[in-house]
Amino acid sequence: MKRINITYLATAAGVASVLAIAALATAGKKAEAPKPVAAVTEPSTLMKFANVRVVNATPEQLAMVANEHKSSAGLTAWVDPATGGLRAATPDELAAQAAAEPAQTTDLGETYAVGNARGVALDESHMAHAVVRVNADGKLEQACVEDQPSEVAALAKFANAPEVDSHEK
Amino acid sequence: MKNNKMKLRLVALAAASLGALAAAPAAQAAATLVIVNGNAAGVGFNDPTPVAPVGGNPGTTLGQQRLNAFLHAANIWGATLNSTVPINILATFEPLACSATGATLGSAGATNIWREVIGGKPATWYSAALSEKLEGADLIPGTADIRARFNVNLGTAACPAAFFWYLGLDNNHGAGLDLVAVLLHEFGHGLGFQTFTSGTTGAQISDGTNATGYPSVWDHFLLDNSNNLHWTDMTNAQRAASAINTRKLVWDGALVTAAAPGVLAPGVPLLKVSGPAAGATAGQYIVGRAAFGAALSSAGVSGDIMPVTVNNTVGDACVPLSAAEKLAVNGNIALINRGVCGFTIKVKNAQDAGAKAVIIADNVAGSPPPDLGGADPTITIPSVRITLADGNLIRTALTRRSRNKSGVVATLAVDGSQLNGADAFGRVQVYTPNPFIGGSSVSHYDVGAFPNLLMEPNINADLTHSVVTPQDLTYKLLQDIGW
Repeated sequence: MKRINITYLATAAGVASVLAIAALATAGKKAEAPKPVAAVTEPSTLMKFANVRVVNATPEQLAMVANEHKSSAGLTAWVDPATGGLRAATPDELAAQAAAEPAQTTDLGETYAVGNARGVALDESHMAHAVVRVNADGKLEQACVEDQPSEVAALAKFANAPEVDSHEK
Repeated sequence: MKNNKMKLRLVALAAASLGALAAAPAAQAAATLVIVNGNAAGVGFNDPTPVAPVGGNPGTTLGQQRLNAFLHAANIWGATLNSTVPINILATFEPLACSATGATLGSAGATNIWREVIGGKPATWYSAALSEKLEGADLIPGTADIRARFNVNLGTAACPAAFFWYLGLDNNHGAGLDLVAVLLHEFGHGLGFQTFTSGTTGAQISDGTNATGYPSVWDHFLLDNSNNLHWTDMTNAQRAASAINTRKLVWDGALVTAAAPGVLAPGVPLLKVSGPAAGATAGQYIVGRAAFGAALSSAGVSGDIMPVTVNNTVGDACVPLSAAEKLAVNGNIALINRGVCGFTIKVKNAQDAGAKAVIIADNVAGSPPPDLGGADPTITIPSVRITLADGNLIRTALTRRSRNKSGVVATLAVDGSQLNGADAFGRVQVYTPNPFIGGSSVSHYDVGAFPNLLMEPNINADLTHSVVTPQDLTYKLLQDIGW
């Protein structure tokens, strides 16, 4: 199996870019011309609700999103050599990727002061991660996992946990 | 700490789009949530792939449907919460992890936390959105309060085909993964439904200004009913122990406790052990209920506990019982090991041997004990599941049994006075499995809650899209902490 590493900077450019890079990495494949760039979804075309609205990110915010994962190990895309297309990682591959990531940080980085209030920035290790797996009985099990350094680690932990909801034995 | 010197972050993102967000919310709004579309053109929320409308979602592109689902979920929260300060959620659909058997659906959380907030408890951390509600001001204009990322790869070749988003708004998700339900849950965490204190170590988050850090507002309401201490009054070691004290850690906020009887159903299954030979095993045990056989009643069923034995060890009852085994369990309550065959086979074999009920002891460590699954309409006796540790403990009292009596009496019953998911005082239990399951602990309601609640660690397929009573207790907890 062929494995390529793609940084999250590429991730910010979206799936089209990932697919393009994956295709380029496939030996003997001719790189396809990039898709024409589509417009951003116009908020006026969306449903209207009383208590919520949508705005498009500013260029600065888009850059901030792109920079979120610059220091991480990067997204790994797994390529099926038979088809040249993306495939899912095996559980072992996922566990290895999770193990290679830095441990949960206690370095909270940025601190803030506004009046008497004091704040600290939180990183990904304080996010909640919704994950899903297929159990032995074929049923999907969803869970919410926290206290993990990344979403990859959260998925690896959940994927390796005993199946408490498989009741047949 | 990376930065020992406190500094005020200068935010250079005061763009017109977010500048407008500081305006007062609409007159009818309880709160306004703002979804900041953080995807680049052509991907994620901006994916132009044509799609057919689904389940009340009229979007005609994939990007529109994703955004509509976000807006719908955010609006449910917006109609519920009360704040004069808009809550900004920076959101993206981007590639997240997939394996052959699992996938990350999405991640969300508060981007920053605050203490010494006006109207809040002193020296206590609050999520960004709640801090701003209490302060009545946007503390860092132009910065998101919640970050949300969801997996754009579901439904593509990069993930197993079984994983695909249902983007309808009507909860009619079938085999699909209901994006709205997942969003409601993860937004709940981002709004403050979590402690920032580590359940693994008990350590509180510190900003470098003291040695011990500060508690989260959650910790003021986390009460361990075995020592009657709140997390704020514990040491790190005590908090770590409390995080695995199964069904002993409860939420003692007044609003959740008052609302619980209107949401949770009464009738908690239990196992009571007594009798002349019970000794130190006498007491009450947590059990998982069976999906088959007779339901437990308040009157209960009682009898001597007799193990199904093979070569003098507890057997698995996967084949019809021998004459000696029949003599042991006939008219008694059979104790059987988990494993090798299905639960219904074990219980049916015990029933055929004359047992009046069955206790299945787990064969792997862990608490609370899960339920017993399976179906067999010919089973008419009740059965329950206990933990490996409890099974081992009870077996110690059975060593001096006769061939058909042990003097250790079990009563399987339902305590009709107790709510499913609450302790004897009506305080809702927090999820504290042993061993500690990273992230699926403490910051969720316990899985014993029935009907299921939005903020249990398992996102159950039968959830409604409600965050309020009488369907749910999420908003009541947020009100307890200051919303």
